[in-house]
Amino acid sequence: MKKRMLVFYLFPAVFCAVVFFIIPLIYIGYVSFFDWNGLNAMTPVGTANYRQVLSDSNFRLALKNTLIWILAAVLIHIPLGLLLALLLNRKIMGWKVFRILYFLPNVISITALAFLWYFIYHRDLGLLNWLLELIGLDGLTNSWLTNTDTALGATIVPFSLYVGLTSVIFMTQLSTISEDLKEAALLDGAKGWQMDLYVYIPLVKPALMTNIMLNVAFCLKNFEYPFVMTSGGPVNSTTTLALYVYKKMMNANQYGISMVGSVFAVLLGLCLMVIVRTLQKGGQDE
Amino acid sequence: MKKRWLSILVGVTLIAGSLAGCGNSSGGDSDSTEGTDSGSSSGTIELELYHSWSEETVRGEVLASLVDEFNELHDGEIHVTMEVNSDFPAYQEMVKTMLSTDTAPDIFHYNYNPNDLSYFESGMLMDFTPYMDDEWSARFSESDLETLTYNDQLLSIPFESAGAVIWYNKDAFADAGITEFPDTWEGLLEACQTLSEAGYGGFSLYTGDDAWHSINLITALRIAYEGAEEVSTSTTFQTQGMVDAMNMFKEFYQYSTSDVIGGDYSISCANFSSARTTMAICGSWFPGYLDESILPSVSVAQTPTNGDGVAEPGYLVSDAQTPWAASAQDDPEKEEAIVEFLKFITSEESTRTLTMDGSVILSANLELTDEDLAECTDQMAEYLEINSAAPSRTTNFERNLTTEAAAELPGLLESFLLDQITAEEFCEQLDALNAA
Repeated sequence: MKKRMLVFYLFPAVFCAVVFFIIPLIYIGYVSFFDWNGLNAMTPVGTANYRQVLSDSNFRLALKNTLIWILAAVLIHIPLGLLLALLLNRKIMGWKVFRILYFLPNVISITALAFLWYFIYHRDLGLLNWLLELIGLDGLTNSWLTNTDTALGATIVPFSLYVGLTSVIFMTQLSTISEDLKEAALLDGAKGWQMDLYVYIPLVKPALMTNIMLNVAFCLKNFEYPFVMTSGGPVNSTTTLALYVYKKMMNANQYGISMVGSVFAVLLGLCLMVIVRTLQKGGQDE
Repeated sequence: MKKRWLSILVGVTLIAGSLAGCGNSSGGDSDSTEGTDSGSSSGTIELELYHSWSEETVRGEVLASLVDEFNELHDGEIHVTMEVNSDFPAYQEMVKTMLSTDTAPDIFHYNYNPNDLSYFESGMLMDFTPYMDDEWSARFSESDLETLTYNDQLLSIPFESAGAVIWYNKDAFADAGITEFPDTWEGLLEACQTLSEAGYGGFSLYTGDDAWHSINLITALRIAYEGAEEVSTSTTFQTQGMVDAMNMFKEFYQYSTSDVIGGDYSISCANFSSARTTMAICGSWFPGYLDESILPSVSVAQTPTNGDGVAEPGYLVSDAQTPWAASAQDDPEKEEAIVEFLKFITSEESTRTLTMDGSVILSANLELTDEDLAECTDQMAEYLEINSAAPSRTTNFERNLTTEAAAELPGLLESFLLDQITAEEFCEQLDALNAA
């Protein structure tokens, strides 16, 4: 009876997953073997689309940029989120206000934020160059979004700074640490940063893994920041995998090629999730 | 036990409901068709018109008023509802997506590209051949109708065919001490230097989306170097004229704004509106995109030449033909309603209204009298004068590229402007992309 109930309760979720995820995924894989412009009949081309994508320097650049986004998430965004959570965890004066302020960008649409940063970076009208000039650093002013050396970094900065949600996840985990443990550490003589390093950080590992997983997923899907701020340019230098898939489908009408990009994005996502899960399990075993 | 059965019952009801919902979605479609059918039997046929002319612009406003007029004339018989997407590149992508998903609107317009006949080949467009009587066909040029005929089927109706002229800020020119608009490109380049010293930019340019303003300038420059006939018939970009045009284009780029790379149409228009730039090569609708405060300063100039007789003075760059099309219909009554609407919108009266009040140049024939011209704004009168006197019209080269090549064009243009590739390499790579 229990098993039957289990099947019954699982059915809606499994049904939706199959209809709205598995079947489309299979269809994406299927279309990736065809030459199709979206309007005319599909022509089977074997693995030609895969070969074309693998030899496409723009695809390799999009893949590289996506990996750079993921690195920025792991090495900048998440540590900043942790730092903020530890800081707010000390309940400094006005910490609740700070928490709301930092969380605020998470409830604003990314498109609006991207537009905001587009104007911050604007060569002639932007806040950033104006500030640099104000403090006498005229030499550092730049066309941040139209320079191939700075454009990718410039599109990553807003994401790296908006750590509200990440820090909230860390703070939730921090709030579950028992008071006994904290008192024991204090009795042992742990102070300020020692508490952070030896007590709090080791105990927020589950939150760390959750954050890595969520942010890796975000970076794999990341579309709005480069689309709004640079349209993937200049010279495709800010194109991510999601934007590559979009451009191939919507601008070039190469649906087959676009689907190959999607297949690679799914495979990359799977690989990264397996790595994160393995690390998570390793952490739990310890 | 009762609770368990109750929960099972609720669960089954919910699932059945959701499945019924799924079933209803297709049923819903047929319902809506039936609704239209019943609508037609009860006297009103609903037509959906999808276009890109924002009602915040003059042409969009005039088109909307014509649609209202049509609805009033056919009250109780045909009713046209409009949906607008004013982002033209996004609009075109949306039309293709709608066609590919079999959700195309009844009537829409699109950019005709002789190198991309996917619309015609899709089998999803309505054939107007049976409805093209002598009276209606007399509204258009024979060549336009031939262009839109595929496998003996007339799959689109000529609508807009815009010539792009140079719009310039005469007050900024005067402020910089330039009294006459230069008639050579070299002279214009010198004028840009003078404008720059007075704090003004040169051409409004951008590389994002379809890079329309930039490609217009490149095409105009190429015509100056090679002649309109040569450019129209050329099958390659690897010509000395194109290389020279690209190099000259880069010189003009130096006098433009810092947001050319990655910028789009609206940014380019905004730069002109705020007098950050002083020139743009654009269609007759351009003033409709500008701030009202700058309109008194706007004037129209003839496209310069190199003064060597290669290009005839007054030549024009034009956009691709933008015809109307309709999605294939099963219901003959709806087909007739579509034809009725398109006959109305391409009639002499509507064409006159759209040209005079909406500032658009259409494909349908129209004789403007002196009285008509006297009623136009100064800018429109200047535009019409240059447009009607143009010795040649050459389509902006981006409109003749394959879809794949057009998609790569912004990146290629940016590589060139950022000195990553030379003009020769640009031409070579563009040829390769277009041949792929």
